[in-house]
Order: sequence, then structure tokens, then C-alpha cells
Amino acid sequence: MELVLFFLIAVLTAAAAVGAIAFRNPLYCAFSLLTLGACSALLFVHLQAPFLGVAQMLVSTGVVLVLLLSAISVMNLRTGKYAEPLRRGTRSAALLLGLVLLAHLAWRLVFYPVGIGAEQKITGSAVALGQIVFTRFALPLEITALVLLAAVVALLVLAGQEPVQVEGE
Amino acid sequence: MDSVGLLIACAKSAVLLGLVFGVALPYVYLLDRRLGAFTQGRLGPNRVGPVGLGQPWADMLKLLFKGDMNPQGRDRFLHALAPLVALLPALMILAAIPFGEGIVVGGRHIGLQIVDLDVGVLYILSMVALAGYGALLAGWSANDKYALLGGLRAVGQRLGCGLALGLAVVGVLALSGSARLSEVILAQTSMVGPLPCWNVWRQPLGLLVFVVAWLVQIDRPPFGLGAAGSAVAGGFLTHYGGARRLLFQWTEYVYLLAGSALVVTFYGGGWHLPYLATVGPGSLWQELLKVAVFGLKTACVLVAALWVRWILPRLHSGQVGRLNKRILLPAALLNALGTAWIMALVR
Repeated sequence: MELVLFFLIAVLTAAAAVGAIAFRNPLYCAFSLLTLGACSALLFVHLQAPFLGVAQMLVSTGVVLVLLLSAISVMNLRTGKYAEPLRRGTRSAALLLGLVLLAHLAWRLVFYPVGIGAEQKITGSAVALGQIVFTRFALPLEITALVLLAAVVALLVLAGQEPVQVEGE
Repeated sequence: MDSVGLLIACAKSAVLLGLVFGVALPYVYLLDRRLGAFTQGRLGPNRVGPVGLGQPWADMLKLLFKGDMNPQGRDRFLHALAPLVALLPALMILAAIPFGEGIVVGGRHIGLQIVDLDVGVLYILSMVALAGYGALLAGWSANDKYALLGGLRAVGQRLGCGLALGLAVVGVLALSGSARLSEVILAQTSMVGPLPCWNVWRQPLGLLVFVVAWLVQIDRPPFGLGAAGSAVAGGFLTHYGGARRLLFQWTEYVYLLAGSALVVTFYGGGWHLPYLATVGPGSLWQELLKVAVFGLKTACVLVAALWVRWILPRLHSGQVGRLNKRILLPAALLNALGTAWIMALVR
């Protein structure tokens, strides 16, 4: 029963992840991202870490809501043209980066197989999460914060590019 | 959870859903209309059934058989999905609320809540955070500027008060020392002289912030910006009729019910009543009395919450923004810090 549930959530998670990058409409992408967050939360709960699950849900719901608002504010979603086609250089760079990430993932899976050893066991409590985040994962956390800050600045620049012209002004 | 536990959880869910849709929602709707009529010196619905008790069912049937609205250029999938996205998180909040202490059947303790999570408070906050999605999707998918404006206004006010809502509960968490809702109630069952140690005495500011922030969060007038008739022509509800409109109506009432039950749980001692409904397993009648006490307290809070709509004029968007920024958030922060300082001093 538990295994069936796990595979069900896992398939849904993977489908949501694909949807988040494959849909053309940014609103659908954001909605897929929300589903991805909810599925990850369910996986945490399934792995006996309800605190992590609820924290994941809290964060992802807030983030995706802001993302949706940004998408609606910045893009004219009704035109059907959501983004300019990527340049060849950008596309090649994205492909290269994707391959590097895939290779890294494969390398990790082959040489460090996932298992429930004593090292990987996380109690899922607030204390355990706090200790891990602010010690072992402090640097990734700060880098993520920096990336998010850059995203906010980029959004402001994008949103401010074409001021709305009101008729009669 | 073993298979028997799973069966019990399913049975509890079925009973709760039956009570919510079969009894609570229709009569909360009727109560809302009768309260409005009373406040405005009208009679209110009183023709269908004895004293108008059949009115909710008549209205429900009418809405179910009414034609649906299909605006041109709408996003079919999201337009159909939005009412469900709005309703589901509201229903999921009810799963964590303890309506009583629990009964023992065949040596097995059966709690009177569907799931007793040790992160119950955070679970509820995460479900409330989902409240804006239904309005936003409904607003965007209708392909109408008034609907979109309504959806954006609804989400804006929810984002604004989310922090205050979370911070308002911090005092309760600190006092009870647990995020498990059943333990939050147990922490309020001690007595100080003749008075019960309910959080309503210890967290009055937190209670006020929680109630106002909850009403803002669920888009209920006088804070309802999303569907404000005179400002955005019905807002995100403009292009909904029939059964889908009914789902949005239910959503509002489920949030009101859940909010009232949470006020009772966090601040009103839950099912506890001094000398009558006390801690510890008792006979079946005693446990039913606890459920009745919880229900009665919830009903009192609900009437007050419903009445606010009829006695206060609607705030405009700037006023709601200022309320969030200048009053609710500082008050919630003050409450959280004050509680922490007092606890540190007492220790």
C-alpha cells in the first residue's frame, strides 16, 4: 500500500516537474510548479517528516503565488506569444548546462546510491532542519537568496520597461 | 497507520463532509441572510418550509439547475478548475480541527478529528496560504478585465495579511508549547481560581489580530476586495453562475466555519468547559457534551463573524492595505514579542 502510494506521488511529481518547463503558457507552468511543491510536501509526509512537508507547502504556495502575480503583471498572456525565441547561443548554453547537471546526477546516483543509512536519516523536526540549513547547507542557502534577489531586480526592470500609456494623457 | 486506522479515518471524513454539506453550510447561509435581514429591519427568507428552513435547499437547487456562464475567450480548463481550487484547501483545514477529546471503542482511542498532526498549526497556515489561488485563477481565466482586477485585489489583500495571521498564532504556540491542535486545547484546560486558563484572557490582542486577519484572508466583507460589487463589478465572480458559483459560495462559508472553530481551538479552550466538560476519557455522553460545547462556542463566534459584514461599511483597497501594514502586522509583532518577553520574565 505504502509503496503504491509512493509511486503514485512520485509519478505525479515527475509529471508536474515536466509540466513546469514544458507548458507554453506561464500560468500553467506556475500551476505545475505549485503541484510539484504539493507533491514534494506529500513525499516528505510519506517519509515521516511532516514538518518538512508543511514547511515545503508553506514556502511553495507563497512563492508560486508571487510568481503567478509577476507573470500576469509582466506578460501579455492573451497574445499567445509568451517569450521571444531563444538565440542559438543561449540554446546551446542551456543544453550544455542541462547535460552537465544530468551527468552530475548520474554520477551521484552511481557512486553514492540513495539509501536509508544512519547518515541520511532526518527526523524532520524544526531543530534538525535548522541545524542542517544553517551549518551544512548555509552556503547553498545564501546563494539561493542571492539568485532570488537578482530575480526580483530583474522583474522590476522587466516590469518597468514599457510604462502603461493611458488614453488622454 | 494500520488498515483499521485508515478505515476509521475514512469514516470520520465521510461523517464530517456529510455534516458540513448537509447541515452546516445550508444553515450558515440561512443564518447569514437572516442576520442581514434583522440588521436592516427586513424579514428575510421565511417562506420555504417552517420559518424559512427550506430556503437554503431551494436556493441550492436553483443554482444547480441554472445555466453556467461561458465567457468568450476564457481558458476552459482553468475556468472550470478555479472553484475546486478554492474549495479544497478550505475543506482540508477542517481535517485538523479537534471537535472533541475522543472516545474509546473496543480498547481503541478514536480522536474526534480526522488527523492529529504534530504540526497542525503550520498545516492550517499552509492551507490558508492556498486560499488566493482560486480567486486568481477565476479572475485570470475569465478573459475579462474586471474579473482579473478582482482576482488580483483578492490575492493582494491575502498576501498582505498572511504574515499577520501567522504571527498572531505565535503567542498561542509559545503558551501551549506545541503545534498539535489537541495539545493547544489541553494547555488551556487548567484553572486559575474560578476562571479557566483559556487563551482569550492571555492573548486578547492575538485574538483580535487573528479574527481580523482571517476575515481579510477569506475575502469576507467588509474586507472583501475581490468581489466588491461597486468597485470591480463582481470581481472574479463576475463570470460564474450556477453550480460553480455555488462552490465559491460554499468556500466562503467553509472558511468562516473553519475560522470560527480555529478561534475556539486557539483562544476559547476548544471543547473545555469548567466543571462540565473536563479533561480525561469519560462516558459517551460526556464526550458528546464536549462536542456540543465545541459546537456551541463555534456557533457564537460564527454569529459574530457573520454579523461583522452587516454592521460595517466595506473598506476600499487602500484602507485594507493600510490596515494590514500599519495595524495588523505591528500588532501581531507586538503580541508575539510581548508574549515572549513575559514568558521569559516569568521563568
